[in-house]
Amino acid sequence: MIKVETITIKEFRGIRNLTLNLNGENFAISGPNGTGKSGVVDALDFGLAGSISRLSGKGRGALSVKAHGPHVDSREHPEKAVVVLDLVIPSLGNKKARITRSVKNPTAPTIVPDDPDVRAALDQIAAHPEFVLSRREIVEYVLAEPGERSKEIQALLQLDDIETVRATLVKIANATEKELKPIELARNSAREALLRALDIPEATPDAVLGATNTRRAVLGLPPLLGLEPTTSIRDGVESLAAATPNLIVKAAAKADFSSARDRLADLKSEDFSKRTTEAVSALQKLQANEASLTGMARDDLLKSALDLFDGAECPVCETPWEPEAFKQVVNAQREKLAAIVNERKAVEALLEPIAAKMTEAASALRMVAAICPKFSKPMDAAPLNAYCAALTSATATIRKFLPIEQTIAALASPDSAQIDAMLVAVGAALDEIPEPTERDAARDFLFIGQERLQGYRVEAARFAAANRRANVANKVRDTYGTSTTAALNAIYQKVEQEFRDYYRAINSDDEGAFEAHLTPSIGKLGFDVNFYGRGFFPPGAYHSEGHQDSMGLCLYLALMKHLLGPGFTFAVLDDVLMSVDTGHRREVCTLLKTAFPNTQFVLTTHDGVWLRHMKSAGLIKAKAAVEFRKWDVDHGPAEWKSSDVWAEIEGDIAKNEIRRAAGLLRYHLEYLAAEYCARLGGYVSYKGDGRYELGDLMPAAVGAMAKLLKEAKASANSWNNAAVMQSATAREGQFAAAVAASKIEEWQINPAVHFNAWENLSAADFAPVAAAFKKLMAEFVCPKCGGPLYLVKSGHTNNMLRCDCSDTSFSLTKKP
Amino acid sequence: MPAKPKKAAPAAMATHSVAATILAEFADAVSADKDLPGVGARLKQTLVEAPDLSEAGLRKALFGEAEP
Repeated sequence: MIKVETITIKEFRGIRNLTLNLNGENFAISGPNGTGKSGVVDALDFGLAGSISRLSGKGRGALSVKAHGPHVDSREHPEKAVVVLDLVIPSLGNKKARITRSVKNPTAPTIVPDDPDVRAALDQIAAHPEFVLSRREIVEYVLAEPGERSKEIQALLQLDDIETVRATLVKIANATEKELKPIELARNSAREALLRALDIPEATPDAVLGATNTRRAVLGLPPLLGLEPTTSIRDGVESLAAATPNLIVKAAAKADFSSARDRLADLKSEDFSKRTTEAVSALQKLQANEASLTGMARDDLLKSALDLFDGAECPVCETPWEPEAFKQVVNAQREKLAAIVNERKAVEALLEPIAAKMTEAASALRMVAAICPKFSKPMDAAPLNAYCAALTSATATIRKFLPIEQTIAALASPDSAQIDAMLVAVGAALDEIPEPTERDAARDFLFIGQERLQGYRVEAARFAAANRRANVANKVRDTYGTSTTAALNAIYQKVEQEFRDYYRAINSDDEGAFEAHLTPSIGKLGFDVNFYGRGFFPPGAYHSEGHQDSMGLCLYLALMKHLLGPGFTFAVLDDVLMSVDTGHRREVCTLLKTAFPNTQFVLTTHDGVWLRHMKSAGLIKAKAAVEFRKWDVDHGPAEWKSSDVWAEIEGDIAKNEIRRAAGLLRYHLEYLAAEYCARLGGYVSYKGDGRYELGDLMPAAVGAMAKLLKEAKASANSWNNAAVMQSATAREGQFAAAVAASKIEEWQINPAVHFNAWENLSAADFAPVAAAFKKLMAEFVCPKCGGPLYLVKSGHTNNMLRCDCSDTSFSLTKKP
Repeated sequence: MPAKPKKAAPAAMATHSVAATILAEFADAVSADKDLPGVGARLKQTLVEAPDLSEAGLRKALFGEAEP
């Protein structure tokens, strides 16, 4: 996988033009809601995967990258909406690459260098769009129903192929079973025909040879010693005089006739009538239920839709679909129909014996029809053939099942009155055929016997092959079930263990013995967590929202670790920890830093305090963050870059836009004062509504700095360090002068009145105020590196006032 | 945006995804079954080495060229 060094975003979502330097390290994007953080997340998503997760999924049907990816003012110019990513690929020895992707052609990014190994790395991350984790997914992992959770997590682990293969193997196994039935019936019919022709009770080699050798002896032919697959029982008959058999072999014909008459009688039997009545009743019950009927028809349609789906478009309306989304929608519908499908299966079980009887009758009657034209006075077989065709058609309708009214109609056997009369005539004609001589009968026996034996061999071979296929398909399906269930269980056990360890690391103070159970079952994934030793419950049952968010993050991390292993080098955590309580934020930062040292996390938050936690815990470096202060549709997000803000304030003053300049100055000072309070340990009186204003923050920041400079002087004095004493004294003097020049004491008398009064000043009056505050704020940063000064503490003891470059560094520790 | 058909993603499978590992283990289990000669090797080819998860592909893997 990859890491991101820089991202440049142009005319994309809410962003006009923005470049962020991530340097392949953890990076935070902070700012109030609506300032453009998600636009950066969307750009990372789009740049790497070519899609935007937030524009897909439930309830997002009308949204698309093409239509809604460009900035609203560039929606007619998708070519202007571009994301450029400079990447480093750790698995390729930190090879660098640039990917440029435009909304106009999202599937064909420009890649430099366009090397196969670079493409493979980019293909891999494009195949893992789950590198972006939003709070929406957290909720889906943690709080979803087991069935939904299973789908979400299987999708995350890309286990959809497992389900695809399972469904296909089941389908093949079912199909081979279904194919087997008519082949078995044909084999049985051929065997019955053989038994009748040879007048034997069972189709064993001994029975066949016994009957055959008796006739061969009559003809003076040598007996057959064995029955091989290629043995012809009439071998040698052609050499005899009068070798041609009669057109109708009387004995066999009478046996076939008798069988046909019996099979026809079966269709008129009480048992058959009872079965059909029962089946019709069951069908009518289903038919009466309109919803069931519709459901069954829809299930057939849905099955066809899945079969016909080409991976891109709905086979019915040609709407483009993501393959998994299409399958999910169709399968969800099919699940609803499962009960109806079961009802159908029950009725089909009633219908199959009826269809089998009709097939047998048609098969037997066809043999009689074949005799008709061979009589010395040929008989018209057309009515008999038509009846057989009607039976075959009815059987096909019954097995097709839908529409039900046609199945019910097919169960009424075709009128056989004409057939009954015909069979009487055929029987009489058969009786009139003269009895053959013993030799002719033996010759005819061997001819018809060989014909039926060969027919049986063909049908038996077909059945054996179909049976083998069914056995293979069933066995493979069963092995698949056993093998994949064991593998999935093993995966979930490992994920469960890693999840538990991560969660314990975050909540070691009060849930150090935390346990969790991931319980996979067919199509479901149960998830229960221990609640302070009181038992196992769903995560949403008793744990707070903050704990649930922690669980979601831990489960995600465990799954990604399992999915990508060392390839888990990049992840975007989009405001996923909004409700993690303050007491556990440091542990979250420590977990991400220590358990995933090779993963670059991009974290978004609207909580400035959270951002400071990330910095102070070392998850992100001091400069590895961007803070958005505002957003507007014309310009996109604006960053809190001090130099930019001061320039903006001075520009406004020059244009005499004092109201705007005053507002900006106030908000900027609030932002900086809060930042310096956090860094220097400035005390601010607690406010229940959490709305701290400049009058609350600025005195605390100024007071903290003054106190620390005083401590620095005291420390230097105790160590008798004249140089440091001189430096601290100079700094303290500068700072006091800046404070005095800003007249902060005057402004804070009544902050509600006085700071707002700025906007009523003239440009000439306000310019010195802004300049004085700019100078004061400069006293909080290192003159060399420009980084803010911060307090280093050891427990409750102040140790040092310093900056990142150490050019400003005052010890606060006094000589004991 | 229509996604590519399943057959067009061999690169992802070749990176030993969780699914590919599970499918390979399944093919090995079939190979160990003496009643299913040749099926395991064909399945490994179809599921892992040159993925074709279509019904036609799986039928060929199960039944070989003898499929009617």
